[in-house]
Amino acid sequence: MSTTTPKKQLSLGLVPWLLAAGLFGVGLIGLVQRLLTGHQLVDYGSYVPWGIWVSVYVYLVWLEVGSLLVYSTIVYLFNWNHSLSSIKAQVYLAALTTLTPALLLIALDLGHPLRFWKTIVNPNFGSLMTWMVWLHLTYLAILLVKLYFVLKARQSGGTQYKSLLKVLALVSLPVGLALIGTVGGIFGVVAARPLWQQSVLPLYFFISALVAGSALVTLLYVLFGPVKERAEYRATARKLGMLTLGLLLFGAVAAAMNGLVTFYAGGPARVEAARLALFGPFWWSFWLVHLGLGVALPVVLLYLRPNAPRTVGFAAGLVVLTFVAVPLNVIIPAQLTESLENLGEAFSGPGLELSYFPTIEEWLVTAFALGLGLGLFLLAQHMLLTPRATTTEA
Amino acid sequence: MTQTEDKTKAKPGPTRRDFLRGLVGTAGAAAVVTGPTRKVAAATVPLSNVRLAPSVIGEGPVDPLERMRAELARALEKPVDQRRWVMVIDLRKCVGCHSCTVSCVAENHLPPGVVYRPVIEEEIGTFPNVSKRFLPRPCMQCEEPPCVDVCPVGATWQREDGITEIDYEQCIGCRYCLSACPYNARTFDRGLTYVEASEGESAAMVGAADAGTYELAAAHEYGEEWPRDEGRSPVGNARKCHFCLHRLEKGMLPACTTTCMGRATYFGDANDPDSLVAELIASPNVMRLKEELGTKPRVYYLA
Repeated sequence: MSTTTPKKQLSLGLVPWLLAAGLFGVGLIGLVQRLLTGHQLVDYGSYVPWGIWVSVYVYLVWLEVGSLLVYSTIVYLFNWNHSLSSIKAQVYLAALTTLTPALLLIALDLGHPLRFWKTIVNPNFGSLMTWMVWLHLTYLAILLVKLYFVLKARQSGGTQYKSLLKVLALVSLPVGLALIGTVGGIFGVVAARPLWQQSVLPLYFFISALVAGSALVTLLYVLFGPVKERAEYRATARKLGMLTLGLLLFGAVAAAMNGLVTFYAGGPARVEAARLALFGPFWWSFWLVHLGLGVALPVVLLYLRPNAPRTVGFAAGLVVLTFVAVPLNVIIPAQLTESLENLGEAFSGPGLELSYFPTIEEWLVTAFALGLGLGLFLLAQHMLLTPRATTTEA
Repeated sequence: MTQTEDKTKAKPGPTRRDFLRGLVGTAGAAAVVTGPTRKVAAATVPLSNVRLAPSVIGEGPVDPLERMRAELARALEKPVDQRRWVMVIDLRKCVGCHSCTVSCVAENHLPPGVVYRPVIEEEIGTFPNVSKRFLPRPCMQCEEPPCVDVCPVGATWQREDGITEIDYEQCIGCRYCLSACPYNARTFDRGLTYVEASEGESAAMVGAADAGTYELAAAHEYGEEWPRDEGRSPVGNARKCHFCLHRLEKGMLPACTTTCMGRATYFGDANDPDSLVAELIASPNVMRLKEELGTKPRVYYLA
């Protein structure tokens, strides 16, 4: 039996609260603007139909499902050490609070958000988007049930519902896999966009979810794991760091191979889209944000200081934050290539350009959603989980 | 006697058009212009069913528009599932006047950012050896439309006559169909209006008030009234060319076809073997865009 005291927890102080409040407060302006003016102040449109909101949605789904996939796999299938189970509630909570901004963003992206129910009442199961909605809602239901029983178990202080939670975790694995595959498939089946249309895209989405998810689990463990001074804590943090490092390297190699094949194959439209991802208007998000801060720096940190939990947590946090650049670089450049030569100049008007950069409203709404997610997590952590941190954990 | 011989014999004497054609001196284009016109004279059109414009009667060759109107009337007498609407665009005759684009915007009350039929311009060569090519691009009304299957709520489907339709009240505005269309033929209605979009200039704009009224007036797409109102369909919807279905059902040709001053756009029922479009799509110089994708467009180009 181990004890955990607030003093021994890694203190986050007010910073995350202020960050959440800031994002939420500033973003509220964008939300009000979006509700009052509809889609008039956005930069996506006809030729670039999906912008930052769809990209961030994909990123959040990767985090949400990836974290649970990784967690359930290492805890229930690979039986990693027991100290991981102490962050079970945080992992479920993080997944749930990641899902909230994801659904909010995708709803605000719709031309008619209030018609969302039609995907349930009048579904077209020939569309992968329908499957995505249904799987996401199923996943949400499983997540809610899981969290409910985790919290109930914490309240009773015992180990009840252990087998039920295991079953739920195992059920969530194929649902999560299907969800990630479906989200990847939504893009992968679009023959009109050569950069997307590849059978391995769902696989890349799966790898991305694992990388982002393992980084999130690592971060949560470093922040909320029990008994900082104990060797087990360090050992688990190290193992999680190594897992993140391995998945990160594997993902980087897979992406590099895909990139090389794309460039060597030489299909003009596909190469142009890939070139735009690397050297187009968003070059900085690929080279600086993703490769620099999201891959190179974490790899160095995780390799050089695997035994320092704070460093491991920092590296994992970098991966979690910067991974948002990955879906942006997959989704946006693929839409910037011309389906027909000179189409972009044929008729001028808002949304009829083959260019895209999020407007202030789009940034603000994104900030609002992320602030909301972070705020909900902090609030739930504070209200539901913090009191238990002072008591014993089996 | 073959049909061709018959048609050739039926060719009338020189007309005012022939004279003008001679002035222009574009022999290649002239051959194309006379092609469909001659065939009309070969009594493929039951002229008794058509009200011809006075300028046409007695002038000799019948304007292709008149022939297509007659064929449209004939097609409308058939059940819907026996019609196969196609459009043929003769690229050699398109002069890039954009009147089809403008008439489409006017007909369907299209707001800023929504266009059903842009004309793509391509400059070929380097100065001083430069020429221009124009490619009008309506919805291809594909036989295998990629936009239909991806709709999560079944708000878009293919009619029996081949036109892909959108139910504006069912569409949730997810824009998956926009991503899936290989021709970028679908556009997103963001709820803008021309007068509001040019707010700074509208004070000095003559007729700004009337223009505002005009663009807020109801469009008649799919045979229904669609007044322009904030948050109400078609605002927030995917929109696309529908071959002016609402006009077809009233026996009128699509707006782009009637306003094409070069008579470069043809429309009709390809299931009617005597129709102009059926003859044109049998030409050896016919092509369709992105055929390699297997979408089987119903818009053909003569090149």
